[in-house]
Amino acid sequence: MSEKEQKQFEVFKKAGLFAWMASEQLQKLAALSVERRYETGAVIHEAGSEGSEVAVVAEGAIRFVSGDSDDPNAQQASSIESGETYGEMCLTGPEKRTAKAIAVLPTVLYVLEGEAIGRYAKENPDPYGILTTNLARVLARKLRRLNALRSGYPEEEAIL
Amino acid sequence: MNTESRLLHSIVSERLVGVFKNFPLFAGVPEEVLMVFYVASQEKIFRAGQIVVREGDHGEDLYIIGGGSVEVWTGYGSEHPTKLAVLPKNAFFGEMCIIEPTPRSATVVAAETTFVYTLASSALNKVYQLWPRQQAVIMNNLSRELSRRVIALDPAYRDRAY
Repeated sequence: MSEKEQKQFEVFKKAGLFAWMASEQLQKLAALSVERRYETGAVIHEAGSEGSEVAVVAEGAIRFVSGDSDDPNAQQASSIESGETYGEMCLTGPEKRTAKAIAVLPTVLYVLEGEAIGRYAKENPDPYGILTTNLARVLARKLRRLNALRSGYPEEEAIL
Repeated sequence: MNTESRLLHSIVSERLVGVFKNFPLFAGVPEEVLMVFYVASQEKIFRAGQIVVREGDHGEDLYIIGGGSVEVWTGYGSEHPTKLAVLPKNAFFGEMCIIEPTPRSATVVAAETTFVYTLASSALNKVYQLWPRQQAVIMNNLSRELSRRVIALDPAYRDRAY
């Protein structure tokens, strides 16, 4: 494994989306990712843009904003940092991004493009089953969290 | 259709077969695998107002609505209940139990006379052991439905989905 592949693997290991995948399979998947770098303040994608990629944050942090980011009353959605993923919903097919993503620090992403994921699924169907189960778990937890917030449960109680 | 399939189809109700064949979670799943679900499934009937599952209870079954409809509530019976959704025929709930063991996150109440088909998580695990590649098919279908539910939520909440 090259130094770059080792670094990709270490970052992928931290992400819940890739939990319980055998090391060899995770290395294979991580090696398919493409590195992208963003300066502080750079827009990674706009709300409403179409996305078919899943990204893992290797370094830095991203803030997701709904509404006009120049508007001081714009709602800040949430932030993610190193080892976290976003765009998982695109694994089920291209989706319109629901929020604008901005790098709040110099940020490095490892991005799995839709085509690469499709190839991996075809060539490695059994490990891909683990990935899809993890995806369902990530989405179900998000849904439970959102429903808990809708029910008025405090943020700290809405983890799941 | 071979002899085995013909015999099984004569035992399993046509209604059940119809519901499962049209069930989005099983899209793309072959007939031989669906047969395991036909046999493992149980039909239950609830009157309007009856509780189907209760928030906080341990759950092991996925529920498919074969007819009628249900209301999904949090804090049901408390001073401040919240109605999260109304689910119609062919919708499903309780899917979390087929992903990981966790208490029920909501109470589900029959809105009218409703019949449901339950499928234990153990039946799905058996299918994954016998046909490992069906796990990806079913989980992909489930993720697609969960993704649709997240996107359908009010934007004030949906945009925090990251």
